[in-house]
Amino acid sequence: MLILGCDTSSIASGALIRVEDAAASGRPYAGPVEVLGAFRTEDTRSHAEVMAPGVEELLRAAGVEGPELGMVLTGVGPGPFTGLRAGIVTARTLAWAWGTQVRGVVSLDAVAEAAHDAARAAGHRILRVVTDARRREVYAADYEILEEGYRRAAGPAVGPAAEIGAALYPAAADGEPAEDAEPAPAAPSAEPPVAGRGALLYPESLTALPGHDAVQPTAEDLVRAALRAGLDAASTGTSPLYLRGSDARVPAPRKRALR
Amino acid sequence: MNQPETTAPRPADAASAPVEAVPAPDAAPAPDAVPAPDAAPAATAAPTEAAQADAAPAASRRGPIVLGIESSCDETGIGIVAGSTLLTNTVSSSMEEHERFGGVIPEIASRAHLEAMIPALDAALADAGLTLDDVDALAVTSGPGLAGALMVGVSAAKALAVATGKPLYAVNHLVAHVGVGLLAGGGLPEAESGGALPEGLGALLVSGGHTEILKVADIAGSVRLLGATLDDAAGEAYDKVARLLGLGYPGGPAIDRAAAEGDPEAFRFPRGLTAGKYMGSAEAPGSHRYDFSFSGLKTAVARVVEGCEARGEEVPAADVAASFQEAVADVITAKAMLACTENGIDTLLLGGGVAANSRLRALTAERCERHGIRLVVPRLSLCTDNGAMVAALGARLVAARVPPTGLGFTADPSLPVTTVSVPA
Repeated sequence: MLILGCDTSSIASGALIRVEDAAASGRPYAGPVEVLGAFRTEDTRSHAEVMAPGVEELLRAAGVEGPELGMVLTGVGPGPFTGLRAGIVTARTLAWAWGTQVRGVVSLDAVAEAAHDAARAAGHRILRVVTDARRREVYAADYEILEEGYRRAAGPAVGPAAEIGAALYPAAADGEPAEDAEPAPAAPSAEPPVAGRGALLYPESLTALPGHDAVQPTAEDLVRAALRAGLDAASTGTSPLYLRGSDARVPAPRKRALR
Repeated sequence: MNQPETTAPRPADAASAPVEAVPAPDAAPAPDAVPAPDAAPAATAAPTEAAQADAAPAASRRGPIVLGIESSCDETGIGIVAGSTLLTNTVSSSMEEHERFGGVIPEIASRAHLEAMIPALDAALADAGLTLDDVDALAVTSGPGLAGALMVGVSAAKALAVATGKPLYAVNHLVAHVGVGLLAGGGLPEAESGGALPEGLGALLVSGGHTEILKVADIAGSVRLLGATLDDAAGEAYDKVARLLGLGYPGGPAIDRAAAEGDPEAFRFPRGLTAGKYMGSAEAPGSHRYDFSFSGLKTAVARVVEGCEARGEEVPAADVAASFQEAVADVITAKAMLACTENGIDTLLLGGGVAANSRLRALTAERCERHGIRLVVPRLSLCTDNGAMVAALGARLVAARVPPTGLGFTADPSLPVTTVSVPA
């Protein structure tokens, strides 16, 4: 089974990956993962330029025709909106034209995929993934480190780095138990180590998992994360996780032209 | 999300097409808009008569099939043409979502484009009775427009190009507004016989985002900007004045309705950039002879409204609306006539959403007739932002053997009008 991954939640990246057909069952997959090709940008502002040529080159170099793909996976953020949309609309349109299914994965999972082994080796039970949300805020999610793999336990959420714990566990911060059927996750007793660029940008508020403060979400890690969870767990909806409104305000009464 | 709305050319449309409202010598319904007797049997489940009549077999002898994508503002448009024949014009608008803000919010428009794109592509192909394989080339608006909104259409178009291997043209939104006139029934008669454009073609584009006068020497390569607004677009001024008068959004139709009951001479509102130092003469033009400014006009209206309120009088909304509309139509058409007569323009295409405004159309028609200028106004669904105009310009570029852009471009919010299509 061939899978094309795209993620533009931070940098722009793509990956063409071959796995055993067992992955198509949709259940968690632990078999071999062969990366046929991958690309990534350094910057976070050229998504609309690089995605299509990048994918074209991936397919050409691997001698793969689009309709041979079993699935297109796209990161659905959270991430800065304009770039995020460029990747999602690319993935959706490719899949539409090829008649292939497209599914969405939380982009922060890709960072957890890259960092969970190090977190486990250091004895941590919880890993916090924090990425740049611009405007002096971050996107974050907490992952419970399991014996094998990890599980998203809270988030994604958005907020200032210094207050991101409260944003991830709103019920705990309010001191009121959530009334939902599913109990809200309890906030970790100590601030967990952080993977992702949030740790690099806000060292005064966040403590990095050593060596993981520059980890970016990539398409390759995104696909690995989706395989680990099982492709059935990937969302058939691919709308962006905006987490913030449009900023638009209904206009205030007009300013007077006369004084 | 809004359902894409599809408007395909119907004979009934041609009968009521705006072009007939203009005293043009040959405003008869376009021959291509009538189903040909030898048209292919109706494609199954095609949603409109015209799409059936224009389905692929008939289209194949009419030139390249081009799919155009437009997302520069708040309309997600997909159009498909075969040469100069319109096969579908599918538009999904997010206008209602902007209503309470009194203007287009770029982030809201961008979000709507993302969710509308695939449904609009599906609807367009279904309406045209085509599959993606039938399409020969792709075209997309790469600017000017709202950056975040453009980015969605550009990314989708590039992905389509990668997925299908078809050539992609990145085209100029403003030139596309002119290109739509080249469609059969679009208004420019020469297009219907498959011939060249009229010499001396100009365009007056008036919308919520644009107020421009163009000279079109060659639609595939040589377009010149003669004049443009320095501040608000005319449609923007309509929106703002409508809000001042409490008439709702969008302002164009609201003010047009209110003005019908008002006296256009009740107030004398300023005509921007008409002072001598800006105008100069034909031989020695001033700095802004063909340019527009509407911010002073907007303030003048605000002063009248607030003056009434301060005196405790009822605002004469109909008179204000009519006088404002007169000022806009007067200055736009006066400058357009100067630009035409001084630049050898004898055919003028009026495009953009404000082309729907009754006073602008009437005054443009009256003044064009006085100056012996042929006026062309495409039907309204082709005047507002749409994908058909992008496809129409794309087809023209294919016919002129202009090399496609390929994938090496990005959205350019301020793409100059001189760039008809982005070079490879």
